[in-house]
Amino acid sequence: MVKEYFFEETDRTNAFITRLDLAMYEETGGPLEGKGIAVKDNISTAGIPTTCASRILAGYVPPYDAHVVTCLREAGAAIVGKTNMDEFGMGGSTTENSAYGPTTNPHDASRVPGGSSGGSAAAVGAGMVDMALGSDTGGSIRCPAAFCGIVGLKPTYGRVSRYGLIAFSNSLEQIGPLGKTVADVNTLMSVIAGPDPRDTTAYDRPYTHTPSNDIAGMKIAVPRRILRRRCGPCCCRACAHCYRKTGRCRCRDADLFHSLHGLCPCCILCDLYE
Amino acid sequence: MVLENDVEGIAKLADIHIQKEELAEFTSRFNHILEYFDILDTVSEGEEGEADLVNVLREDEVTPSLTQEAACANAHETEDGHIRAPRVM
Repeated sequence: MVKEYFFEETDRTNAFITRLDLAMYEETGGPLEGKGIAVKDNISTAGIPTTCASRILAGYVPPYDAHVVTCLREAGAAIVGKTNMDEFGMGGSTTENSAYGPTTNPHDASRVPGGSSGGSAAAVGAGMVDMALGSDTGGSIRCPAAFCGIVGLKPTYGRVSRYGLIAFSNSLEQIGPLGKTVADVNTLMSVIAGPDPRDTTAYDRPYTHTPSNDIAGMKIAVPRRILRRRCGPCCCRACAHCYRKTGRCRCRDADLFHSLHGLCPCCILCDLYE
Repeated sequence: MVLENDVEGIAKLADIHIQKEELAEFTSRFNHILEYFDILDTVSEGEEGEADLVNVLREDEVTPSLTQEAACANAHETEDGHIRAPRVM
């Protein structure tokens, strides 16, 4: 049975490019039944305009759903709108490079929310929705999640079908979840992850992870050299605070020898400029 | 090494309009990106091949897809059920 979802939240951060004040969902008995979910505006939604935050695609209405959107609908979610982003996912990590105006950080309007999935992160950070979908090539979920004080995950490449994602870099990007809590991120991840014959890079294995807060006995790798070289003192202090809080765990220094060599092809393919 | 002349030429070929005052910035960025190739050249090539790779092509079977009408719905111009695009050359 189809039901109505009234989306009445005020958008004070310009998180949405398109919003559906009356969204519909199906009583499917799925894990997202009756939940309002925001979707980044580079993910195709049948019947809902999809702009990639660019005037080039103004007026474009996709004739089909992305695989992840089909998954959301089958899980009972109400899609409440399409979120702001850097145009086609490019142009920095700030969500200032949008034809629909910048998104601001929900915690401080004078700051950026990170990008390129800044609209999705701001919508969750501002409490408009519990969960949202973003996409990540070189930090586009992880950075805005951190900037907005929420949780975000770039899935391992192949974990989530890219069918219906308007591509920035086919061989690098993934659609992924953003949420207020690790549990929410896991719920959304379990809905969208899985095989899809329309994306031949998608794994043929189901996603069965269950998060746990039991960290006893775990070792945590700390990339101290990268922290020292690349992060400001404020970030280093925050990381040190987290390491202390892990008490029962043992933190170990780890050198990520291949991180620079991994970054180079990404910068070349995506024309990133570090 | 990329020079401003090269950037102007590439922009012309790509039909992208770059202002004179933007040339220095773009030239610097092009050269910066080329430096990443120098870093990659320092990686030693391993002996191991990619023996575990398998083909993921599917059988070439016709399956239901978009109707012609739906596929053309967003086109600015159509002709006999096809999308008509402006000349590019």
